Amino acid sequence: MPGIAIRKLNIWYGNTHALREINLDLPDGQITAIIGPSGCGKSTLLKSINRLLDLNEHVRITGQILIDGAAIYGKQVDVTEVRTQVGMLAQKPFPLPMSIYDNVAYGPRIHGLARGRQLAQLVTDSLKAARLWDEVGHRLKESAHKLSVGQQQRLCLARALAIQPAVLLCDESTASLDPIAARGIEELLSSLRQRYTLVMVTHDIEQARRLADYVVFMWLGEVVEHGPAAAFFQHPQHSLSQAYLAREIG
Amino acid sequence: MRRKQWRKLEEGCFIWLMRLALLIAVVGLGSILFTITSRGWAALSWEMVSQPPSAGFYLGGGGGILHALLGSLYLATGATLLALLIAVPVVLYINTYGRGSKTAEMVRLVLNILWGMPSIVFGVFILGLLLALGLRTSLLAGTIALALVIVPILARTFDEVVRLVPHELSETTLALGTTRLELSIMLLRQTMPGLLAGLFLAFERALGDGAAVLFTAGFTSSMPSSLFQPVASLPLVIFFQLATPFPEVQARAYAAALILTAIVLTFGMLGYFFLHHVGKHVIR
Amino acid sequence: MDRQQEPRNASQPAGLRVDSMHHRMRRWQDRIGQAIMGALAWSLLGLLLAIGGVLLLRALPILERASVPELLFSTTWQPMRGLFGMAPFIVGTIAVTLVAMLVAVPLAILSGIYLAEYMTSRARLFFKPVTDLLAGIPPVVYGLWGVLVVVPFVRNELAPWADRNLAAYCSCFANTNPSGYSIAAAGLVLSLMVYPIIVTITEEVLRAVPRELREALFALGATRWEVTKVTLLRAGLPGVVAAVVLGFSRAFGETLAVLMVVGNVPRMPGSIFDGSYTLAALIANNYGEMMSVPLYESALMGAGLVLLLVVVSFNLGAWLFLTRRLKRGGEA
Repeated sequence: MPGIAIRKLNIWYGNTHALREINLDLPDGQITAIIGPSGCGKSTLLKSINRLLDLNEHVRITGQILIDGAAIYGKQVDVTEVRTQVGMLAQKPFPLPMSIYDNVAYGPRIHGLARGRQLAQLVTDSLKAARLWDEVGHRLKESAHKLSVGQQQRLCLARALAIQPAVLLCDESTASLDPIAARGIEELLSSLRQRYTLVMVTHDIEQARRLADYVVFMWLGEVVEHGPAAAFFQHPQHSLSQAYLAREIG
Repeated sequence: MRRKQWRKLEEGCFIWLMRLALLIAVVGLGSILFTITSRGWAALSWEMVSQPPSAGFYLGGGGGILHALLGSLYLATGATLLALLIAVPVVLYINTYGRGSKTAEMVRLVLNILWGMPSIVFGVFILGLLLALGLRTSLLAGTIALALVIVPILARTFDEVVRLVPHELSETTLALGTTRLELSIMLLRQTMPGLLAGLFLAFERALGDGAAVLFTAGFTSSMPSSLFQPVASLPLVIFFQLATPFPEVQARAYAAALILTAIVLTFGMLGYFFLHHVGKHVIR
Repeated sequence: MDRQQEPRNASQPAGLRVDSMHHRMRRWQDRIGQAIMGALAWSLLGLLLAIGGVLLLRALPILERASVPELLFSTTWQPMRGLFGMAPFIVGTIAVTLVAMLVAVPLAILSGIYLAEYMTSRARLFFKPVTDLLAGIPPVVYGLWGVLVVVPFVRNELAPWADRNLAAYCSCFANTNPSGYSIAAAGLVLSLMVYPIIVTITEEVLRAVPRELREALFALGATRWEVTKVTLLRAGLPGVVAAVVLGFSRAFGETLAVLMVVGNVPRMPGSIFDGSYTLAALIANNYGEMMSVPLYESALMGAGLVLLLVVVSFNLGAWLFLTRRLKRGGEA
């Protein structure tokens, strides 16, 4: 059973047709990398999976996305539940205006996932999963904004993991970090691949090569080619993919 | 080359004009503060702020303006709280549920209009309601009129602050599966210092506004006693004392003006402080 | 969502499912919050309409007695004889506002530019409180200052000087009034009250101009003044228009400060040194005695209605102008 199924997805911003007829099945429990030159619609596609696009005023969406067979677009669907199932790690780390502990505990608290000692345990587990516990375990009450950028990004990851999502979206999540912090996040994501369906957007072909199990290559709002990473990187079928991998375009 | 000299000359002229403009404002401010202080200081006494007026106060009798001091504080505090209850939900609404909608656009336009509305108009509006209902002027009516004056001030200041919140905060918060109500609360957390600053600004305005309370809070020489009794206020005490022909009463008006100015400017500075220095977790 | 929840990840701890009761409660809270907050938002429009409605209702008796043009354009204000011509007050209000804006707008815009563009941040630390303090001083204190300083200045210096030097060109500068309580005095006091509003907004507008635009202009070799002209007139125009509209509204309806220095003479003014009367001052001055004279209260409510309509239409006009401009593709 596929993790995420995208069916006939079309997205317009005003009069601009940003995504055209996207049909994809993203595999469960693997890392999918969406690659392509900037402006090709990678981030749009990613943000359609947790319905964050709804925040834009002039956006129009047709088609459907199914997560574990359940449609996420439709009148009956509760957006907050979709977003609970689908975690997200943004490009720039953005801690909430509260303490380190509360940043992680906020999601479980509002969703009523845990309280008291169970909540503390969940926060600890999430921080450990994000490999941040050793650095902040002794100062959980401090403001999250005192952390370094790399730490903040791991905190955001812990925050996303704490609400137990099935899917994790990463939007260029290492782009604003220094190389060492970026490598840390990469290793983290790699270690999470068994437990979550991970979808990442990246403009860095090498990163996709290092991490991805499955690759989607986009060009001007359309999916040009998609398939298992090994096959894609060794034998790209489409001429655009070949050119992109050879860095002749993009 | 001549063209270049001309451009330099133009800029030079305007720089001097700008300095002159600023100088005029500084002189104006200095003149106000100097006048109030020099005239008011002499008449200032402990009796003035510690006692209500005794008989014949407006003819030069003894006593002070404690009644108006307390009256103004009651009026401004009540009005600020009332305005808070209206302005905060409205601003959060147009930034969450109604973000980008026609409703939000309408609300902002109405707020702009209300912001520019002379406070005397709010005063006569409440007066019209009182007359229609057969009610007298009272602390309550004055509080409501003042609240109407400061709702747009508070709402606009707060809206500016909320709109400065990086959109990533909304995005990350919603990505955690929050409802828009929960997002509102998150926005409130982030903007708390700005809200406090707005509150002080609104309070400052409410303290100083005399036109809105003229018909609604009424005027009296007794201490404020109940929500349904008329109440005195500092601006009106100043105004009425100045209107008397007796120099010693007028001198007390100067002292009262000094007190009012000092209170108002203190709250203004507190607002400034809150805007820039408070907020432990706030993202800057 | 009506889908089966299957445990997907073996690692996910049991007992950490979204509790549906809790979830339903949150959804209700969300809806109730939306209803209450939305109702409050709409109530502001209701308030505006209610103000108009109440003033109109209370003004109806006089509107039934006299026609609108008669009320607005007749110069005879004799309440005892039942004549309520508001023209002297309307003209007085316009004249005072005009003087205030003519003085304040150039001063404020020039100051705003200087604060935003030319001043070092250190000097701004000193000058910024000037506008904040001016904005904070209560109207009644402005009025008091007007009585003590501005009125004598107009009487002893400004009016004689204008009479000597300008009256020959226009009789509107003739020194007609020995008291100093005049349109000019009220306009000067008001201009200082309006000044901080316009300065603050002008400065904000200039600061909000994207650095790229500014740098692009500097790169072309423009002087700072030329850069300012472009940014203020192109990118900053809506903000400046908003500032002027707000200043105008403030000046138009300011009550106590004007009342104290304008002289309160219900006569058509011929010179800016004439005593005059404004609509707001009219309302404020007569509220005590109005019950005894028939229709007086109704006339005052009518004056309030005029204030309201002018402020609303001025704001709506500015809003229309700005949205049109945006639709035409002008800079926001």
